[in-house]
Amino acid sequence: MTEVIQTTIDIYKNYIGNSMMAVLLMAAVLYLWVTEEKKEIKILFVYLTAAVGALFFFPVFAYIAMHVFLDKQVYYRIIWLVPMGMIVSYTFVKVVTQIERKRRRIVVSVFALLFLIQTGSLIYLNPMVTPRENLYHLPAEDIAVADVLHVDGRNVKAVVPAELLQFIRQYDPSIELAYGREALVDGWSSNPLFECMEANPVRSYAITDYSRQQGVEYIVLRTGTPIVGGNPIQKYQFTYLTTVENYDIYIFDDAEFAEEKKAEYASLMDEDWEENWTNTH
Amino acid sequence: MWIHLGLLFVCTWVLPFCAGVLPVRIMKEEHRSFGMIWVSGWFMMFAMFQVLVVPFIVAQQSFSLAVRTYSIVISAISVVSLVIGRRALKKSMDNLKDSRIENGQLPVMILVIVLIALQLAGAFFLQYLDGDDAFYVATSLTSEHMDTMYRFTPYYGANGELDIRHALSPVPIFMAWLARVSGIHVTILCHSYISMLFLLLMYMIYFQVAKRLFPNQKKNQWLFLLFLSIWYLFGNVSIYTAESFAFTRTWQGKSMFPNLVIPYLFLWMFCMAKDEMDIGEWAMLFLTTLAATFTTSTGIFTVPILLGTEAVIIAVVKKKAMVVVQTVACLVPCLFFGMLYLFLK
Repeated sequence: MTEVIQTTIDIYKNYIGNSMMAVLLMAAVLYLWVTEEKKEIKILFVYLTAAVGALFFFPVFAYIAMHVFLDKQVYYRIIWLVPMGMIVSYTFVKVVTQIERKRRRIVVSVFALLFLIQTGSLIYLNPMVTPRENLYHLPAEDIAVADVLHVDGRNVKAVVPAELLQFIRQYDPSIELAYGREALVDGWSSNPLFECMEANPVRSYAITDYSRQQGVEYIVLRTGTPIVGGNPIQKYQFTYLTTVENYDIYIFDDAEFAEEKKAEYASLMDEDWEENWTNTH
Repeated sequence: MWIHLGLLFVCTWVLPFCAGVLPVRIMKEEHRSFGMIWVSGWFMMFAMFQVLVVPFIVAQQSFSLAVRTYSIVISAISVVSLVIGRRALKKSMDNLKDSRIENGQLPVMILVIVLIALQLAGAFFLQYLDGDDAFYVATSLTSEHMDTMYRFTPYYGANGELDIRHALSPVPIFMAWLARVSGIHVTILCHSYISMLFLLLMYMIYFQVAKRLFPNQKKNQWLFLLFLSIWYLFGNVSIYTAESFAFTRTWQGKSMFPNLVIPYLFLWMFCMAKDEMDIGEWAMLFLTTLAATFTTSTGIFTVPILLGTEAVIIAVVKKKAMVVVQTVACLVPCLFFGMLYLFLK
C-alpha cells in the first residue's frame, strides 16, 4: 500500500510540475466554499472536486484503478475529471466582479493574469513545438525517404534508422517496417535487427542477414554511418540505390521491383558515392 | 482541391449543424443557440459513430462497409433532424437577434477572439512531433490503406489480432472516415485542420458553459473565456495536463476526452445540479457518455466515477434520490462498453 501511495504522489507531482496550478485550484475551491451562494456551483466545483481529489489520493481506489481498469501510466487521467481551468476562471470572474471600482477591477484582473502567465508555461515555448515544414506536420526528410521507398500498387518492407520510425508510416502506410516505434520504448519489444541498425559501427553482414530473414526490401542508413565487416553491404544482395536528405537507401536485389527501381534511380546515381566501409577481417 | 475542401466543410460544419438541430429542439428554450446546435451535432456524430462502427470493428468487417453505413445513416439523421427540429433554428435566430452587447463587453470579446484566432494559427503553422501519432494517425492511414480496422499493427504494418483495447474507442477510424469522404490525406487532416477545428469546438463548448455559469451576464461570460484561454495557453506545465493535450494532440481521443467531453459533461452536470434537466438535456447527457466511450477507454471507466459521484452528492444535498436512477440510465453506454471491454480483453 505504501508503494501505491508513493506512486500516486509521484503521478500528482509529475502532473503539476513546478506550477501553481494546484495552489490556484485549492484557493478557488476554498473561496467558493466560503462565499458561493449557488448550491449547484458548490456541488460541482467544491464538493465534487473534493470528492474526486480524495478518490485520487485514496490508496484503495488508486490500487484498484491502477490494477483493474486503468494502469499506472494513465492513472494521472483521473486528474482530468477536475476541470481546473473552468473552476479557477469562474472564481476569477466572481472575485473581479465583486470589486466595485472599475480601475481596481482592471488592476486586479491584470495582476491575476500576470500571475497565471508567470507561474504557467506557454505552450509555444515548449522546445518540441517548431514551425511546420509541410501540411503533414512531419519532418521533410521522412517524406523524401518515403517517396523513394514507395512502389505503386503494393506494400514494401523497409528497415530505417530510429528517428524515422515514428513518422514514415504517418505519411505512407504502404511502407511496412521491420520494427516500429515500440522498439524505441524499453520493454515493449526486442528485435535483433534494431540493435544491429543502431550499433556504431554497423556490421554489414549482420544487418543484411537479419534483413533477408525478415523479408526486408530496403535498408535505410544515415549517410556516413561507419560500416564494418568482411564485405561492404553491396556484396550482400543489397545494392545502393540513392541518397536523399542524408539517408543512404539500399534495395534488396531479389525484390520484385528492384530492377525497375534501379533503372529509375540510375540517372541520379552519384559517381563519387562510397560506402563508409572498413574491412575488419 | 476545392471539391475536397467542400466535402470537408460539409462533413465538419453542415452535417454536425444539421444533426444538432433536433436535440436542441427538445431542450429548454434558454439552451437554444447556433453554438449549442453545432456542438450538440458533433456529439451526435461521435455517439452515432460509436454505436454504428464498433459492431463492424468487433465483427472484423471492412472499413469501406463501415464508411458506407455511417455515411448513409448520419446523412439520414441530419436530414431528419433538420426537418423535425427546424423550429430550434427560429428560436436560435430570435435569441441571436435579442442579444445586445453589454457595456464593457466589446474589448474583452475582441481580446478573446484575437487570442483564439492566434491559437488556431498556431495549430496550423506550428508542429509538435508527438510519438503517439505513430499509433493514432497511422491507425487511420492503415485502416484506409488495408480496408480493415485494428487488424494491422500501425507501428510497422504487420497483420495481427484485433486490438480490442483501442477498438472500442474508434476516434482514429472516425478520422479515417473523414479522410475517405473528403479525399484528404489523414495526416494533413489531423495535423492541419482538426487541430484547429477541435480547438474551436472546445472554446464553443466552454462558451456554452459560460452562458450557464453567468446567465444574462455577457461581459462575465467573455471574461471567463479570456481567463480560460490564458489558462490553456500557459497550461503546458507538464506533458500530462489536459491543456498540453489540447494543443499537442488535439485530434487524438485522449485529448478529446478532457477538452471536449469533460467540459460538455460538466455543462449537463451543472444543469443536473440546478434541476434544469428536460428530455433534451437528459438525451444529450446520454449522448455525451456515449461520446466519452468513443474517445478513449479511460472515458469508459472514469465517466461513471465522475457522474456517479455527482449524482450521490445531489441526492444527499438536495435529497433527490431519483437523480441516481436517472444518472445510472445515462451511464448505460459506459457500463455496456466497459463490460464488452472486460469480456473481449
